[in-house]
Amino acid sequence: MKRDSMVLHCLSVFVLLALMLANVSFAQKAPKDNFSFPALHKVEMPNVQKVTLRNGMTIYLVEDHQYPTIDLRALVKVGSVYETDDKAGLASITGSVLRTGGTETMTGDEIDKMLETMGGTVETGIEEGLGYVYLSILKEDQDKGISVLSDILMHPVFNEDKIDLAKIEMRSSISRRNDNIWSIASREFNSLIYGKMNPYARYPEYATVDAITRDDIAAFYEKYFHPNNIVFAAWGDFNAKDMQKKLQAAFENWPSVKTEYPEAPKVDYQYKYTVNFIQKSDVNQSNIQMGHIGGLMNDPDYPALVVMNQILSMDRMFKVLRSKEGLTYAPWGNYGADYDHPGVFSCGTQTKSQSTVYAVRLMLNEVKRMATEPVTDEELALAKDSYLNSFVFNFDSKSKIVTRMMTYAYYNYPLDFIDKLREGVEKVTKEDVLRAAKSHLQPDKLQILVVGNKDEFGEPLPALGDVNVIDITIPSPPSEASPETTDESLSRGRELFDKAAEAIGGADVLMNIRNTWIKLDLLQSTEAGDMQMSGEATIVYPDHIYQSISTPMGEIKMVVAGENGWMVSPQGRMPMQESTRKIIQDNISRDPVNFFAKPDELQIQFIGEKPFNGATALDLLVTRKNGSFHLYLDGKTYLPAGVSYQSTGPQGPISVEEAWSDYREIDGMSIPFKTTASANGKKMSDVTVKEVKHNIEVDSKLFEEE
Amino acid sequence: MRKRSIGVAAWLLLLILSACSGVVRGQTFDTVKKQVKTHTLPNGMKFIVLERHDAPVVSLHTYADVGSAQESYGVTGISHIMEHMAFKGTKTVGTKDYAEESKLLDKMDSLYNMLSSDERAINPDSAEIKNLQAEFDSTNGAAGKLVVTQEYWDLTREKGGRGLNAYTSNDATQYIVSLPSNRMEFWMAMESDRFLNPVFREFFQERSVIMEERRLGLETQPVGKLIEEFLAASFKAHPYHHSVIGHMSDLKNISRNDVRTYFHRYYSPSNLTVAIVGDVDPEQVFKMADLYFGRIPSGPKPEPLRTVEPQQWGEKHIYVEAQSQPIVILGFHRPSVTSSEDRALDALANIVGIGRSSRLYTNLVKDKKIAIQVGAFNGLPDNKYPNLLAVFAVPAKGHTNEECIQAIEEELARMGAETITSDELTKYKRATKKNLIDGMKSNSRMAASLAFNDVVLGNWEESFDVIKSVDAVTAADVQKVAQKYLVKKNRIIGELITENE
Repeated sequence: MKRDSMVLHCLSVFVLLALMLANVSFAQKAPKDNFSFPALHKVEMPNVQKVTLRNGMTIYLVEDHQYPTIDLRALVKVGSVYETDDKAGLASITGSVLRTGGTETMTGDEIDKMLETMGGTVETGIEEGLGYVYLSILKEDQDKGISVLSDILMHPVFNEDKIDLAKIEMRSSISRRNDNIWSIASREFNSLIYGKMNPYARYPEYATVDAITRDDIAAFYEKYFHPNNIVFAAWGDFNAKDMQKKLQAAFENWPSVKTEYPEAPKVDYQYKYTVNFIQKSDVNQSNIQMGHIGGLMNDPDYPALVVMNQILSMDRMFKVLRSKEGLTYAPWGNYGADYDHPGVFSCGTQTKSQSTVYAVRLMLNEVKRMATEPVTDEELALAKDSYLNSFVFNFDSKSKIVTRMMTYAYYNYPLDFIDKLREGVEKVTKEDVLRAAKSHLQPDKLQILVVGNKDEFGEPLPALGDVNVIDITIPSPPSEASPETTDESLSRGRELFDKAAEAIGGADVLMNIRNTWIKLDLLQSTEAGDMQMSGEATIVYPDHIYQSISTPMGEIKMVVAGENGWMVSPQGRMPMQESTRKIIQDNISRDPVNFFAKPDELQIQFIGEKPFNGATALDLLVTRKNGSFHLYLDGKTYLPAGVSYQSTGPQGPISVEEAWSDYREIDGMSIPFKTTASANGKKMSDVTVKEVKHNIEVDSKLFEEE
Repeated sequence: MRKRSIGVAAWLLLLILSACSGVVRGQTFDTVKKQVKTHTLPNGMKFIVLERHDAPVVSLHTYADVGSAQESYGVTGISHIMEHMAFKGTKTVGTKDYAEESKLLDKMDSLYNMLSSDERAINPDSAEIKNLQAEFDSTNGAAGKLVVTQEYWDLTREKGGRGLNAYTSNDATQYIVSLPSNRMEFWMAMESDRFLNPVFREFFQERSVIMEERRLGLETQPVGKLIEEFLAASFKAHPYHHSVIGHMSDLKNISRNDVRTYFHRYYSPSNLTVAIVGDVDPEQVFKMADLYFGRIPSGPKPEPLRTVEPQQWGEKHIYVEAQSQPIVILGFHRPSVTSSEDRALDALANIVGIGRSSRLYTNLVKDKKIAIQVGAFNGLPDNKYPNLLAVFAVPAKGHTNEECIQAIEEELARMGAETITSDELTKYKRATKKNLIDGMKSNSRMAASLAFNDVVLGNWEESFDVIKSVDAVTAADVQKVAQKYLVKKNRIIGELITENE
């Protein structure tokens, strides 16, 4: 062996060694190896300045010179929880028209154009428990932006046209609220937990939207929009002192006013096990939610519940229902906590119709396990690591930091709440999780809601218990101002009316009906509960009716003979009040035999398509001498699906809707054997026809006043 | 800079500083652009890194240049299935005993093949099928016992990962996560292992999950149904025809073998691009990338898609019936995002349909009050290939699709007949600038933008240079594209109409 080759050999050994060493320091690791991570760079905590104006407005400011933009955000102490039941929707409309309705110096449309031409945004809104305002704008336009924002906050004019627009939007959303299975499930589950009319679950209806006036909106604004109820956060490319001066100049002349807040809504929850169902015949997947009332974020158990939530969602629901069973895409389980009122504990999933009940059982089991067995060491460590190691993301932008401070200030939470929460999570033990789960979860008293198509269910839902079927029919709007008639709408109306006449039997048949005798069952909803009655009626067209009804109080007869009317009860005979006679007369005039027989005395206008009794109907406005009513035709058969009209109830005007169904043919005429009537959206009565005869021998004594 | 009591000297300093930053701000786009560095590995995989140290976090974005547009009949939805399988682990992640597990997985594949062919027989042998099914189920059960469920997720959770997710679109499959920035090496190990040693375990359960996802996002959603029909009608030849989630019949039949083949074809390093934005040192990132991703053997770049959507011969009009209130969407064929007309079309959509002062909102919502929502956007269903400029309207209660279509037609006709105002052009330019700046604030949005521009437009610089082409758009450009594309023959109308229960 030559010497130089030795040297070479030695050299190559060295090279190899060096390479190996290099490889050690750069060694590849496998995902599950232990990594020795370098220390995380320190989070640079921004200097957030707090300013309180003389009028009580609070502002948190932080400079952020990275990009040439300015952002302002404010929370206003207001919320839909402060509106009343009969005007549900008021807060939301106020929040929207505050922005769109313009100010004393600019219309809303001018504001839209000015802001958008600058690439800027100002938005306002009112949600359940807060109002918000924000401005986001390029730095060079900040003065214009701040002036628009302050003008909107201090001098809104709530232009009528924009109120109309907001109401149209809200009515349209109401009409669309059952289009999507997910929104049905979320809304109705919330109602189950808080109660349908509780402000935390309440939603607007056509009637409540119609009831809202400009005065209501102005008054709602006046009551709550004061500087002392507002906390601002500002961040962006500004000098804090400059921005403080600008905001001071913009808002300091806005006087503070002490607001008397209504009492916060009460949440009075009764734990119970219930099974609830909503049928949706056009879906092949069920949307399932279950749970009960939740809690508050300042609960001492909250850190343990944060850990529990991760385990319940990620380690239990997700792994069992999705990964192992392949039953669902997005399952969850979450003990919801809010700042100022109890949140909702909810678990949910979506699964094909066939596996609905199976999935419910799996979820129930996971909740039970959570509340009875300790979590594993691995689960606890993972949940805590996940929370603690990702904690830095709460501080990865100045906007996050300053808006969080604003939120804490708004709810009167300590500004270091998140740091305390972190300390709490660090200390959580397995025992803490079990104790918190035991005291906050009631696995045997969950309310279950399924929205889906029961015809496809594998195991039927009653296997889980008595099923409460929830009716989500949207209550019809009270009388709407009718659109102007046009030649087109009248001729279309006439055409559809003729089709309807044909559908129920044709003019020849109808013209030959002189009288009708009906035997019926009547289920009347009253304050005291449902009342079952039966009776019979004889109608002699056009304007005579004899009705006899057996009630728990005995038999009552009501007779209208043209301009005369009287009643006979066990107490004796009495004349009928004129208002009652008119209501009955009005009812007879809506009997199809009556109005189809004299089409020439009617004006019939086609209004459009309209949801009616769960389907889309053709809406005709029928006007005769004594007023008008809506006649709804089935879009396919043209049979009348019902009518709606204004009437008078014991407490004043009411909107009545009658849905006609179960058509059967008698003597060549199609007759609805079932009529369901509601007043102002509340169910009033169910009439089931037992027997019908036409052209009977009428005892003329029936209509003779003694 | 955080002085409270400001002396004269401090004042001067402040003035100088703010003057300097004024200069910097004027060039926000170029300043950030200078912080970008790139590196391509010998195997063809490209890394784009934007370094910024505002916070000790980093967003990581792996962009696979494959989406549902690469799928043919029989395997629609496979890009998305592949995306799901990429979370199922590797030879070391997600298993208790890979050697044993892999035998069972192979056995399942052959049982599955036998089952499929038996089921397809003209006279299926039901007894045989039953036996095979039982054996398949028990093998699946045995394989399941060797799985460490969701270990891939859990390892990332444990490290403090946020937003671990992936998205499949018509054009691309994108894997994203954000991490505390000191955990960079963990991501290198995980992500490279993911594409080096993938194991498609729990495949059949995951296929069911995806079927549920189809039901959730499409079959129980009236608007989902509308879009599926609308795109199917719009694209007669190009694979934008089918939805990303795929047809149910394909989902029921795609096999593990199909996915493996698809993976080998489209997941070679030359087809992958990684964008990393945040608190990292680019040189160190590139070194680690060499070490970890350099291991992946190179493969051929997939052949480009051959099919080009041919001309449409006449207007199309489709209806979807659902238990829902009406909605209408209009589409106009337009060239891909690489076209020189792209900016003008972008301006057109903005002026017609974005914002409260847009033409459609002003006409249909504010003035006529026949709609509660209107909008216009480009890139339906995606951008890389010729696509659609879409306009939609949600009719107000008591109003119809027809009324909305008529009003939209009138507004679109005006776009071709008259030039837009200078205010409208300013609105487009300023809004776009504002959006671009806001996008730059977010690590993950910036990573997505860099990857998209580099892969689809062929240069990441476009994430910043785009502002120049936005500034260059003229009113005449907008009118020209309006006249060219907003014509009836080039149009598709899709209506969601109410079906009674």
